[in-house]
Amino acid sequence: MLKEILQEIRSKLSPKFFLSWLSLTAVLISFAVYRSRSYELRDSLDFFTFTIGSILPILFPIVSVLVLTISFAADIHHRFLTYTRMRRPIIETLNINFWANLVLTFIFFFCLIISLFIFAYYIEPLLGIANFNPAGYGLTTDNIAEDTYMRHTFTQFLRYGTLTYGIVYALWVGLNAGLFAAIGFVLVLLLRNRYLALSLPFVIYVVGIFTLSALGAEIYRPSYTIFPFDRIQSPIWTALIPFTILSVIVAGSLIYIKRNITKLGNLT
Amino acid sequence: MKLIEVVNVSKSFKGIQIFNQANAVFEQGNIYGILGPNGSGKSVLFKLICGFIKPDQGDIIIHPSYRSRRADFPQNFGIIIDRPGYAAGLTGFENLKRWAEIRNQIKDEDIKRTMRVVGLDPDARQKMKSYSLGMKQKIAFAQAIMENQQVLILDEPFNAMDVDSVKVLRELLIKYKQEGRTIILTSHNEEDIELLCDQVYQIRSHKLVPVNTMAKV
Repeated sequence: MLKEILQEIRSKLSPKFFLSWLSLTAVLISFAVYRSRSYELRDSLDFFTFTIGSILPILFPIVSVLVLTISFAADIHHRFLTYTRMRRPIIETLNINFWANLVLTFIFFFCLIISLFIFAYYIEPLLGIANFNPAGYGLTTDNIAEDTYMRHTFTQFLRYGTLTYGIVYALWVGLNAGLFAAIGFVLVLLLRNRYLALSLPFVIYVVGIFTLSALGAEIYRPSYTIFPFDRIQSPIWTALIPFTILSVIVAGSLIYIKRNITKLGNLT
Repeated sequence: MKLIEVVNVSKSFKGIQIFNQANAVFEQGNIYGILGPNGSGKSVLFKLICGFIKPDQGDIIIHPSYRSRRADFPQNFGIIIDRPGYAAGLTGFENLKRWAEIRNQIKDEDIKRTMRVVGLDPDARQKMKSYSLGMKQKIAFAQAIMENQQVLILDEPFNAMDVDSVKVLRELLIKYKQEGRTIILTSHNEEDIELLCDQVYQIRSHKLVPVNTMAKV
């Protein structure tokens, strides 16, 4: 199975995939550079959150689905998968597509976040683009490091090194992107209308934001648990709650699909 | 040799009866035609045979030499069901290669040869999303035969094809029959049925009714 998943991943790693990643990285950096001129920032962490916290939290569920789930939906719509069925059990094909989809979406977002992180922490200081004034925030060289540890959720990891934080946070965003791609994947299988199926992850994300805000459970909003830059730091376990709930729902849907595979009209 | 047996099969969808206690036998080395108006259940029969859907009652019995313990579908079957399938962003050759890679039994040259047989240019860079329906149908035909499949289940195999292509592919099916392959096809064109089929089943009153016909092959 691993061999087939790797083969599927290789077949999907097209120039379009790299171009999309490069374009999105370039847009986010350009936007951050443009906006940063109007602000005084504390440090590289501020610049990093600037690159991520602008449009990415809104685009996140859309891009997660666009990376690969959309092409999977097209393969179903054009009946490509139907013609694999006399060559390999359909459950195996779905498993391969599911994991390839999840891994590639993870890779896309991991690379995106790590690129933004490298730019903010290692390239921007060389270029001197941003306007830093930590003193304006009452910060000195003595207390600025301690301040970053307590600034946002996941910056707790800065204690273990800048790169550790960058990698852990990129992994976290990548995992969540994979999860939203997985939600799109199961919806494409369960719903006849592929446009509805592909839009629902975004609807779930937005409805989740408003519902949890209305219920006073803002720290569990998907936008906050994935991009925790507009509030004070929360314990890391709070971010795991919505992730775990959505993962359980996806796992349950996959079990349902496996048990009802011959009833799914999309695949015949 | 009885290759496929349809035994007392009943199937309905959302309360609409498609088959009721239907029976049929398909022997090896013959060409069978399935006739019936639109919506009568021709594609459903093919999906039942291929294991895509399960009968509500009854059994589809496939000869053991075409079954595998590992798989939930018959082995060595080539199919066209409902309409052609494809990945829109790939060329015809790339589509066939992706299907072929699953079993890894044939080489690129085999795929190209099959494409030429059905009247397609294997080196064409045109993406399948811009193919005509007839060309898509040829790709469907190619994937059904490229791995030397011994049983062909073909739902309207000549749909939207030009006259010359139909002639070539009819001759190909006759050659396959002479080699001992088994073919079950549907067609709205009576000439296809008359020319090709040894036996015909008509779907009538939710049953498969044998119709006497002379094979003119």
